[in-house]
Amino acid sequence: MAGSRRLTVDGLRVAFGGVEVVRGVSFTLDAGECVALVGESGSGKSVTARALLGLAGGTVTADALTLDDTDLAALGERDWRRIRGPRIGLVLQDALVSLDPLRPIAREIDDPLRLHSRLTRPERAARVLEVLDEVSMPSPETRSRQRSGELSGGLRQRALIAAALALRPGVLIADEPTTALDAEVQRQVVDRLARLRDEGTSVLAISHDLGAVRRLADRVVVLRDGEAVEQGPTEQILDAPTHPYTQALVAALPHGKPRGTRLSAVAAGRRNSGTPTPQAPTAESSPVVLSARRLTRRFGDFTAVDDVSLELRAGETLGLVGASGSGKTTTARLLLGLDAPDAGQVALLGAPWNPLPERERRPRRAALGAVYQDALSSFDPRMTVGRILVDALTAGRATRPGRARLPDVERMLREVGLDPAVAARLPRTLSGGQRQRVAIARALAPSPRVVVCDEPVSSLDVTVQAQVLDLLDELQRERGLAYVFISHDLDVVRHQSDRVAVMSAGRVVEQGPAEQVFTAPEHPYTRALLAAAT
Amino acid sequence: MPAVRWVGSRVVGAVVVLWAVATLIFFAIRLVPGDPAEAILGGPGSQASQASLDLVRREYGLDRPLLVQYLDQLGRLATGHLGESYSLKQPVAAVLAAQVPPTLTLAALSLVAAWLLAIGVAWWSSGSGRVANAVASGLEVVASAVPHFLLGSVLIVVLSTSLGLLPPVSTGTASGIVLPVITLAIPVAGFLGQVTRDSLLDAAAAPFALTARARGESRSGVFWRHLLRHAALPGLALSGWAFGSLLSGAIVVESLFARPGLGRTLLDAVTLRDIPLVTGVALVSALAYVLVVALGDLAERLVDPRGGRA
Repeated sequence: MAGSRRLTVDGLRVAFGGVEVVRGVSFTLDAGECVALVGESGSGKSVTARALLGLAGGTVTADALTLDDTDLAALGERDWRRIRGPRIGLVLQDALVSLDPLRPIAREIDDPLRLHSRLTRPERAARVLEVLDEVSMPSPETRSRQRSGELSGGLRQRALIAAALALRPGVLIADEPTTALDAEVQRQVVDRLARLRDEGTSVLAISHDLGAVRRLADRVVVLRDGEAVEQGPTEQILDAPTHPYTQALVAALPHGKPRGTRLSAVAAGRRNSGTPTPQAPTAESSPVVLSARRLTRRFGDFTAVDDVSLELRAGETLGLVGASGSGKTTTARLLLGLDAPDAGQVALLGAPWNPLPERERRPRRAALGAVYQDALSSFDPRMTVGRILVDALTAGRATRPGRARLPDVERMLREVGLDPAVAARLPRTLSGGQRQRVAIARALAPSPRVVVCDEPVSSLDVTVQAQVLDLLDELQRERGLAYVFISHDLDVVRHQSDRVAVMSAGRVVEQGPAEQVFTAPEHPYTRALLAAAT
Repeated sequence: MPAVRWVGSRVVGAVVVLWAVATLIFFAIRLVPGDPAEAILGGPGSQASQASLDLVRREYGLDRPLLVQYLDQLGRLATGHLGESYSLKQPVAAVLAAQVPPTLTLAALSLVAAWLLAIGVAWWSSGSGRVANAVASGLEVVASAVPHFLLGSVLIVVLSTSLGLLPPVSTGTASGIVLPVITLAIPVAGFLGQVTRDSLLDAAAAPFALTARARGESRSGVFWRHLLRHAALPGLALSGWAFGSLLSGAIVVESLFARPGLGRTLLDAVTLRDIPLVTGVALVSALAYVLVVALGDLAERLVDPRGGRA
């Protein structure tokens, strides 16, 4: 399928204020080929992509940077504007914020036509509908008048792709096109990009999702700290990586790794650096620590949680999976007692928990912890890490981290594999992985018996995700914690859970031991969910 | 029909506001020491005889219980009777008809000027780097903190006394309104600029701005087509407040530039304890404020049609 050379990148360097973040990256992209740039955040993959559009900022130099016959390195701003859109298109992750939320999607798709074509207004309107049809947008006329906020994640992503495709650019750059999407929607987006590639478009995909990369890319370029450490055909890179960094990246994937096996190299700073110990099977006789009986929660006409019953025993992990909008997070809020159910009850350690007045719940709050997806926004931005932890330790009673608390803070940070020096820092100065570790330390501060984890690793790189998953496992073994583990990533849930409950439209459609649910799903919805992910 | 409901709720809100203002003024003005009857007869120091004071009290109903006077006053206001000014001996409606247009012109022009200044500075500083941003936000802080009387005096000294560019007194000519408008607009522009810049920077950093540029949109195209709408939203929400501050600023500015208008009328009326006129000015100001808030809300809905806001 691969045709003539489209894009040549040779010795690309990008520096910001004298600091090089891309350090001599070289690769090529042929017509009808998909090349994936993979690597963790900060590896320079997004900056590389932006440099190909002349939008990186900073200082860009290259030995060669050519698109077909055009020397991109020599272009001025005016010339660049003729390249962006008609010749190179860009699809960013998270279409909710990549489409202007104040404008109907028709205008967003019309923009490149207005800027680059001589079509009349009615011709452009017709073309907009045509492009929407090409990306299989249902009822394009109605949808075209809606704004991104009115569309579901999948439709939004289609609209964004449509806007990039309106001028049929020869090269399409897709920056994390599948991040934060449900398995089913991910599959649709990957299929759409694959079809484009088959039709002759060159696709440069940027992703940390190696699963999506495997399905889409012909070749893979692995970036680390701004350098391409390894590149080659996809199968070869993913199945037989030669560079240690690529090996670590591949090893960090939870896919096909049984429960209890380590995903990451042993974290520095943790006390126990032993070999992976297989998970002790949870005895059926362990006491039930958290149970939900026939929970229902309605918002107006919409039933978010419909007759959900769950049971969690000490020392086990209950995975909760389902598409977005299936009621996972609402269920978590009911379990945490952050929201009252319209019917049904939650019991914590055998005593009534929800519904119950908060005043009666508060003394027992310590038994229940929570870890959220976006750790940063769950911290008070003006509190140092030390103060956040003391705050959690004393349930908000200590107003300042007194010296007496310092040893406690140090111990808590060490336990989650962080340097105690982190205590003096503000959350926003930490990396995503460090933040999530602080969030875990905070959840564990009052010594809870149960921790509800809502998408705890969804915004993390695979290697960091592996470390956080391993950490959760270790803490569970050491403390006999019980987890409710919510994730849209089926591989992660399968790796992490003893039992799994599958949610769809507010109901639990299937629940049972993780291996059984994943290998022999009974409910048609579970089967569809699993099929979409493979 | 959401539009009908919207208008309905605005009208009910306006009536409530006007009633509250009338009530507040009615009772507040009686807390001020002094005798209204005396004010009617020419103000303090008029040496009116006890007999004429009694006569006036009876004639104006000032001898009746306060509650009766209050209800009577509400009844008159509800039927559109604003009464006669004690000090000017003219119907309040006529005084307002003469004084409202100059002030509304001044306030409206100032609001427009403030928006132009705020957007202009935002446009200049966006995409001009960190230094330009720091300079612009420094200017805005100074602008929003400077009091009208100081700003106006400095402008008079510099632009008219020294340079002779503009008249120091706001006469009937068109150039006379320039200095008052600038004086009123600058502090408001400072406030609007501050909130505008914050949301402008947020919008400029949002992925949709990058996406737009990746389609070949120019920097200014992104600003006018995308960023400005996002940036203007918090400012529009503040427009009602801005207009209110313009009206109160008008009291200072109209006195400073010897300009006719509501501000000076109100100042004189309060000094002379001219109750009907104070009430009239307050009601008109409140009505204007309600209208501007409604217009601001409408503009906000046009700019951000997403709805879903409470």
